[in-house]
Amino acid sequence: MNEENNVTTVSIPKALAEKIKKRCEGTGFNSVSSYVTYVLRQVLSTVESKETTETKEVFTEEQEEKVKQRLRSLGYLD
Amino acid sequence: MKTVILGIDGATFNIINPLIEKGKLPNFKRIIDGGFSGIMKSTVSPESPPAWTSLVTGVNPGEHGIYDFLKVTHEYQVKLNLSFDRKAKPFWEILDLKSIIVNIPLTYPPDHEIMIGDMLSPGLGSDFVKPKELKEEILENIKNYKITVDWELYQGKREEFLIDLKKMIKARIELFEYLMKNKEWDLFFGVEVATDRLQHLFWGEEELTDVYSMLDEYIGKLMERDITLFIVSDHGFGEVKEVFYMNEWLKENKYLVIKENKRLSILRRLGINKEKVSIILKKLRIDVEGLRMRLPEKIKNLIPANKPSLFQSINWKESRVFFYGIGNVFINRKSRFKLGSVENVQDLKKELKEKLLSLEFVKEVHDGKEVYQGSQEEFSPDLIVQLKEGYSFGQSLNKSWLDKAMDRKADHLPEGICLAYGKDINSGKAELEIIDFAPTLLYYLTNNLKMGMEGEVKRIFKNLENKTTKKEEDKLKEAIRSINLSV
Repeated sequence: MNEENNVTTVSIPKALAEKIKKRCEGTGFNSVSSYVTYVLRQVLSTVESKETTETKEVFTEEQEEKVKQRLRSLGYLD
Repeated sequence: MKTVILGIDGATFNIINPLIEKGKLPNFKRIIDGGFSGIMKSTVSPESPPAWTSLVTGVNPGEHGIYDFLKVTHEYQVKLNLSFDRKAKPFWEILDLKSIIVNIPLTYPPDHEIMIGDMLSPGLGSDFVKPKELKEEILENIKNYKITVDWELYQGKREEFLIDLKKMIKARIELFEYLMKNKEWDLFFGVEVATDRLQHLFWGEEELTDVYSMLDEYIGKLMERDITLFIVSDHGFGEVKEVFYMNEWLKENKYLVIKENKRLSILRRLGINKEKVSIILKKLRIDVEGLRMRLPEKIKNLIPANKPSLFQSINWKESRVFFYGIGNVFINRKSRFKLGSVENVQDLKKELKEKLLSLEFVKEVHDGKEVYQGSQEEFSPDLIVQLKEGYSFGQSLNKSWLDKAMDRKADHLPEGICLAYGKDINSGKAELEIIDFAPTLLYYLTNNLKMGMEGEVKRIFKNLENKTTKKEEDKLKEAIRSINLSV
């Protein structure tokens, strides 16, 4: 039963829900909802902690051309 | 027990076995007879960047995102793949061990505690070592250290090239030994790429015996230590007689359209090109390198290159298909490229596949969607072509699309090697896929299975306990940690 305004309904394929239900047996997870909530919390916290700024410039144009020339001479690049 | 992984780029039983039969490579023989050995099958495109990356991550390129040395952007710019383009975690980031990582392709810029960057580093002057202080220490203690030796700079001077190449290998081994002796570590992974260079250019010649013997001697030293030793390669190698210039084939079959700048073409026909101008300037004692750095691109491009770069010559608006790398075919899709025109991708794929398979030297044509799956699959090539043995790909346009191999004697094949030796290793033989290496290693070192990787765990170790049961939450945390999440 939904607690008012604290939860929202998300749909997942039945087959996936069945898989999760089986995994819940004998664990501390009481329901598919609590399992899925746990996983999503973990995933989001990992994603949020990894959000980075723009990739720094690690090659000057000259340096990149030098490495490309190396690859050209090895036949990996025309 | 400490673990040492020695990577030898392009190492193949095609060389090792015949040399063993001739009485050479006694230490390779000891491992093959008494340890574990097997063919390790490379990635679908058996090229160093996707292959080494699959080896260290245990996932296919569709998941780690490294399909080639290069990627082609939405605007048809060709960009080098670097270490931060790898979107899956390499095993050294998952393990809670001190690891030293040296010269593995796709480790520039270095992004691990102790890491020495690979041949894609711009040079010894760049930040190719982490930590930064270690670079000076290395260059002071390993006198002849070189990241790579470029054949084209030797202008055909074979003997000098070979001398320098062997010096480079000797210095690399010295570096491995220096780091293992002077730094704290539990796992050491070092790669030598000289074998790949040599094999392309000098296949079948005595120089290969010399280099493999140098490596065999080093392997013998490692085998005397109380370590678990792995020897791996990213792909195999075989002789090549003919080259398939696929972009030329695409052009002749009207899939690829080339534009030509009339002015540059006239200058080129008159023999006026960048190379010739450089020679004249050098004779006049003008600093050509300095000029090259200071002149704006617009001025430099008034004079044509000796040969136009292919990507600069393509008429993207009119082209439907292009090719680069080892076997990678890209459809100029509207949904992918700025001037892409193709909407019906499936029909074009089918048409290309049929035409390519009708060529007698084409072994297989894979659909990118089928062989590359994962979070990075949208960047995959549309088709991957595999050629029969004896044939190799050329990138450029050519007078004919099938031609004798002039610039190489051998090229990559899928069958690399995996050898293992030590007290914990069962002797035996088995075949592996390259994605099996990392989960197998992780199982050996942590008793945990798979950890989010795709490959199989090969049970080549003695007396290991079965996977410990863990609480479901711990399993989930571990699985999530091992997935490299990017938004």
